[in-house]
Amino acid sequence: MSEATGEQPVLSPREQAIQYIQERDSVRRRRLRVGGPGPTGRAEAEVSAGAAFERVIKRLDSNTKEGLRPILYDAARAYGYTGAIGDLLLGIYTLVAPMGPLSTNNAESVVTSAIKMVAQTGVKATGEFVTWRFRPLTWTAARVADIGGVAVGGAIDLTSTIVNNIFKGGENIAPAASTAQLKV
Amino acid sequence: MEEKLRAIVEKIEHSKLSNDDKEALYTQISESLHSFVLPVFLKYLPKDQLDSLANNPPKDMVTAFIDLIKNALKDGKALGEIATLADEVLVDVESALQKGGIA
Repeated sequence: MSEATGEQPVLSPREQAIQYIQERDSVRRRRLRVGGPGPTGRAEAEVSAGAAFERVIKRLDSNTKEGLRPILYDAARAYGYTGAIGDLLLGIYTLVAPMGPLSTNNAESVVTSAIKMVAQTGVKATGEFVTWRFRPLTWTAARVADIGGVAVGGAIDLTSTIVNNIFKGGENIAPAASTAQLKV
Repeated sequence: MEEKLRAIVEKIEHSKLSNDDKEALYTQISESLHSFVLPVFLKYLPKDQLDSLANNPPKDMVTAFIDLIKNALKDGKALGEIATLADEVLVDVESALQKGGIA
């Protein structure tokens, strides 16, 4: 960050944009917290639910040999539990969303299908899974078919690679100039 | 959501930013999109069921876990809120690009 001659630091376009996004995120986070009286109570309720959910995930990991375990195990190794859970849920959401809005009539089958698909894709492509699990359902289904030996054509453009990496999260979300070699 | 994100990525790609700057923006967008997923989900997890599962795990944890998620998502509110927030994040990113003179 460079300093101007006055008191206000001059932010680069990148710094200015990131600062704005972070400020908006901060407002959003405060708005999200519910569950107890006042901001402190709401934060405590979230921490308590988060801790309980992590215990569930750990029990799931230690008590199951199939299903969700491979995803959670691999993701936990790569990102830590919190990132894994967030990634998993975002993955579930992006898998469910193309099927249309959930209703009380289709919730069970849609969500169960989505979770099973996430689990199956994780099992089938452990190493590769993290790079494409957040694609829309149609795309994911095509890749599953591809892994199963059914040919699917079409290259993924560089924008899709970056979008995919943004959904994936983690490090090395590189711009096109440095991801050209990743084109598949 | 994906189309909006694609448009943002294309704007950033076509900007005069350095590769480092582009990467920093992509990382920030990713972190912002991921940051609210768990908090939203935790809001909708049935507390009694969650506590029961955490403290007295049944034999079939996968089925119990799926049931927990189903109950959190069954009325579509959590997913709807995630979609709304994802959209908000991307609108903010568009504003941020404008404020930074990037697009």
